[in-house]
Amino acid sequence: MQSQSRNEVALGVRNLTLSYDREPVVQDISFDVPRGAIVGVLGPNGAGKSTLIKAIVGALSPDLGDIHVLGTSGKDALKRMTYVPQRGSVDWDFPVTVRDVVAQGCYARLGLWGKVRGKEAKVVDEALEMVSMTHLQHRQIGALSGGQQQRVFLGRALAQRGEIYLMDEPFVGVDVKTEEAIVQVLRMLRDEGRTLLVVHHDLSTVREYFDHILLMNKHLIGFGKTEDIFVPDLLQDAYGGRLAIFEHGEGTL
Amino acid sequence: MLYELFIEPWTLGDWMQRGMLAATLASVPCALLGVFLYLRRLSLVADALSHTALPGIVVAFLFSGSLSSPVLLLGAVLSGGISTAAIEYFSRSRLIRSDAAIGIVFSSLFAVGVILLSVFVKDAHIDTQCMLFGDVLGISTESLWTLGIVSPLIILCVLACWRVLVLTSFDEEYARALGWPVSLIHYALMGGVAMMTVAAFEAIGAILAIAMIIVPAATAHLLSDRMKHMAMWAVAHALLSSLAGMYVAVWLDVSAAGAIVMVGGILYLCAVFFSPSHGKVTSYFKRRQGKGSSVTVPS
Repeated sequence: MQSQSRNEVALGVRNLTLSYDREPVVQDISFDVPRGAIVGVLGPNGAGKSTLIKAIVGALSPDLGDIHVLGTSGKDALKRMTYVPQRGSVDWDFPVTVRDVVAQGCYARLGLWGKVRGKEAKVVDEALEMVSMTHLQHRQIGALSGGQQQRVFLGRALAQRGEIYLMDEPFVGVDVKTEEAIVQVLRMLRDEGRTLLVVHHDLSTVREYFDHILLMNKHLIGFGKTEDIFVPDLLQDAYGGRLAIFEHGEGTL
Repeated sequence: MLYELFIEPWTLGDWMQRGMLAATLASVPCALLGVFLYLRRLSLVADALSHTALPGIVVAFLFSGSLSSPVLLLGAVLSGGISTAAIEYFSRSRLIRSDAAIGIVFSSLFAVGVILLSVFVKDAHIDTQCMLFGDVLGISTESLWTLGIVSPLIILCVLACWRVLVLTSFDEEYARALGWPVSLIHYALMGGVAMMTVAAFEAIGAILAIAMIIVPAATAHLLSDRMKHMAMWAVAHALLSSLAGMYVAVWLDVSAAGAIVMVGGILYLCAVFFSPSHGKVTSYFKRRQGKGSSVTVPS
């Protein structure tokens, strides 16, 4: 992507606020993500990272706030987003196959009754190929390793083909091979001009994976280029006392 | 001998035919709804809804003065909706855990029903025994008609909403992100369960309707890796246990609903031990053959 479209705002969030039982979880967060960015969403446990992502994709309704995607809002904006939930959020004993789950990505276009065949079946084939799950497509999803399960979720997102991908902890509990495969897919999506927000835990890989960082702890602590945000001062603001662990590891960054 | 056991019951009047029709009409939609309740881990809610239907039925009876009127169905669906909303509210409010919320809501509403029944409808012939356990071999023509209308309706709705039911059961948040009406589907499913337990209460009774909802789904889950197969196994289980249960009831002269559920339970136990993929006995033999029962495949 050239510098002109680089400056285009892909995802704009204004004053997003969300609470459970009047207990604020996400407080007044605003930021603009440029098109083609890979954004790491960082913060300690309980910082509201997952909640923020869910509110952006419409899985939770915020108390307050506006969300814009490439100049659209409301339902049109939701249609351009693709959500990859946490692997632990579903029951993997559910009687569906790998192919069934990846095909759910087509539902965004097919609605409640459209059949997955012809062009859409091809989309599913390609998505399975991209996450190297073609050989396991007829397997029940419980009979997979953690990394394979994460690739199934990624395959579903690829079949959906949104402009903005929002992923909740895609690297948790996956093997090295899957982690590399996911990073490759993220970069491929970015090179196609798509924008990605990824909730992430492992601070040691942040510089390698993300060109932008959203640092939060209930409220926004910083949003911008990785080199500007991934600095000890701001990280101390976000992680507080837990910084000791970070400083210990900083030498390796 | 075989003739006496298997054919003769069908020739002694039409009660066997009517019973089988009632059992089929009651059990097939229950099995289909049960598949989704089971997968959503809401089996207990079926129990709750069949109980909370009681105050709705009594109130509707007070208004309509009849026991087999569509008003009763409406009353049951309304009280089902109210109890679903109450359970949701209490579990979301984090004041109590969701399992306790179900217990509190259903027992309280059931108690309201019992009190209403004993105060206002003392002289009416609402037979509590019949409401709880049903009478499949002596089913009235009105009840057959009610079942004949409600049951295909529920089956059609489940088939029409198949995709949205599957996706909201599997991954609710993803379905929400797609903009699908997740809460509406939840309430529709609960309404369907309330309606079905009421339509079926003369045939199988409120208590045994719960078994009709849960046991086929639990058995089918052991036998299948795909949604369509699970639904088909659940329906097969429902039909087989209905037919076999009716024979057992005739042979041993016992309660038909009891026999149907008992046969269903035995079929479930068979699946627990002999299911090709999950069975206890089958996996024991697989291990002995050195194949191992581990299903995780390295990438």
